[in-house]
Amino acid sequence: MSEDTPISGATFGRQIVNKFPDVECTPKEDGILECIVPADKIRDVVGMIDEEIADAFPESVFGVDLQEDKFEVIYIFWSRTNRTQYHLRVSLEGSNPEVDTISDIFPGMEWHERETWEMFGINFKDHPDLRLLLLPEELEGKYPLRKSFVTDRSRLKEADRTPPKPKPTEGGASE
Amino acid sequence: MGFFRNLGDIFQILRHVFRQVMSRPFTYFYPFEDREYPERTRGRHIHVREKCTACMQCVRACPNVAISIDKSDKHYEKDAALFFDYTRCIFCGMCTQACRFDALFHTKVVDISEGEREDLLYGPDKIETLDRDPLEWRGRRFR
Amino acid sequence: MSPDILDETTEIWFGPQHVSAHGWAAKLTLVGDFVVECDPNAGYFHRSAEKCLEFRNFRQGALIMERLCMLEAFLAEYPYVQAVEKIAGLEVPERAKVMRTIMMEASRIHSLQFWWGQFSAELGLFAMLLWPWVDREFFLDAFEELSGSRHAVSYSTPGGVKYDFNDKVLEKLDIAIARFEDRMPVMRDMLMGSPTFRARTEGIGQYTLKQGLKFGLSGPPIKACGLPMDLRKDAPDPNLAYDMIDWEVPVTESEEHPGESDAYDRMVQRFREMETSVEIIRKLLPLVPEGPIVDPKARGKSNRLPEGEAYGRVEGTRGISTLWLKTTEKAQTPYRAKIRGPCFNSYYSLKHLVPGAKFADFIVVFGSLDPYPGWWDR
Repeated sequence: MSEDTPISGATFGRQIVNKFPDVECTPKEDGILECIVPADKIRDVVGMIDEEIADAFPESVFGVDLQEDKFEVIYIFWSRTNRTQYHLRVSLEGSNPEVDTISDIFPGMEWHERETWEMFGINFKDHPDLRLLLLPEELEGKYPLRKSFVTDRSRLKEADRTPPKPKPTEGGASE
Repeated sequence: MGFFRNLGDIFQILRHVFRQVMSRPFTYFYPFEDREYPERTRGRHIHVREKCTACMQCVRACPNVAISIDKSDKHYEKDAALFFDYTRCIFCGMCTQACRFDALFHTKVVDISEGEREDLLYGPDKIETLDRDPLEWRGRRFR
Repeated sequence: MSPDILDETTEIWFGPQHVSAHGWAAKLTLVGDFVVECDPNAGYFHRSAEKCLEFRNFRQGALIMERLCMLEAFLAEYPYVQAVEKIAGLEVPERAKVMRTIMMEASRIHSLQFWWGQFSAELGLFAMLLWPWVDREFFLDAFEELSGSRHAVSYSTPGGVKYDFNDKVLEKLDIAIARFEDRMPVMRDMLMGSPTFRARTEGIGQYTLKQGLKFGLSGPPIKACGLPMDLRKDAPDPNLAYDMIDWEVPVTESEEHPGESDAYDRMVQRFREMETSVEIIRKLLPLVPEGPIVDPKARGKSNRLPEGEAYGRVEGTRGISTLWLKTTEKAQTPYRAKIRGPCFNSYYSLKHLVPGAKFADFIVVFGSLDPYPGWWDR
């Protein structure tokens, strides 16, 4: 809690599991504590981080498209006292998945959630301000960072060029 | 008291101002004079056709698909014609590092802007020749 | 002020055409001269860097990263390189580690000099705009001598660095640092002692440490509150050389309001950052060992990466910038790369820091957080 008593990642992981038995916590190298959190428990776990760790620093929230309508939302927090990164992973399913917002607990996450919504179509329930952040209006609802989004190749066609080799196979190309 | 402190400040500032006034200006009268470019400057490329083996390493290394190659156009034994699209090139140096046959280099010519977009598509003739010497100290120094 | 003025609100767009608003815009709602609501807008520079990274291989990705923030190019490209090195399991030669660290610190000084001039100009002190920028040219000369480009250096590569130091680079770096050390204290005292400057910055954009952490601010805005949160010290990276020398994390703790920071404290803090960077460079320069600059196996190993996830982080000039990388088995390109720019959060925090301030102080709050549009638009 305070500066003198750092809680190690493993200890804090056990505290989380004691309180919420359906959360899985595994300490990893580089001081990472990875927690697999069910979608309905995310507010509780983040609230616990907020209460127990005085200098919890919200690093980022982002989505990962795992294809076939599966998504993962990853929350990353950093604590300087404990020298630990908390990676909370939430698995979601469906074409328009939903998860609770945490922007009222950590205001710094508000824009990260907005970005995840516009890029992946992951809806954050009770988010105060879910508007487009970076994208122009014509891309609303297209979710450009999903793997199913077809990128614009018009400039390549105009110059009568194609990339020398269709490089990415499973690595990321959307075509 | 405040008066003397302000006076000191003013002298400090004046000292600085005089140093600035006396020193050489940092800017150049660009079209008439130019500065010296260091050895590693990443300017426009030059293609040495004799050494090229058409191995395609530069094409693969390019992150922006700025290079294309025509293998049928042969002047020597196994060379190829190189087309550079300078509307796409970001001068990152990946192609020259990828070339293992010393056939592709950066030059010190950095001012390649043109009026027409088509002029920036460098064909094989243009990429193999330098129309002017990059190190030439053009014109005279003002001041 | 007559009462009917207080009833009316005025909406003003600050930017994107305003001279201080280089690629961003904020909608301000004013009552009289006071801002009651601030709605920062992002997206004017959006270049979809994360999607672009999915189409570039692991050696090309760093090029996109450094274009997010040209001012700290050495620092901006590092999280990507670090993440790739972690997944591929690359060893970095000692010489490359030290050279990287030196250039990253030089880049930090150069970036802060740019901000310092810009911030002074935003306050109306135009003499202070060009003086730091002249000194900055010498750092750019050193960068150009080293890599061949003034801003887009493309220096780090997975497994080492691309360009070696030579006598000319060291000489130019020495000139730049000597000139900086000679002139910075004079200019700092001139600026910080100026009553106009103090009146404009003291008590403006004030927040407590806890608030700053909740907003996700990092780097100088947090260190100005008195918390030495610095990844260079807290999470030392084995591929950098910060643990080879002794140095202290600079912290500013104001006497009038401990645990809080205002625009003036953040200014003080950034000058201390520059001094620390000079100290680190001076201590590291004699320690550059002989040896190769890049792992010879790195090229083959970074062609195709194994399946994995890595999280690269670096303490940038403006705060913590990170990159989360996920690869699939034998892929040539990343599956997903997420960039966290430090200014994403500092720009967001204007929403909470500006209301209550005067309209003229808006740019002071903005400038004191040192935001760079490339970091939040990506």
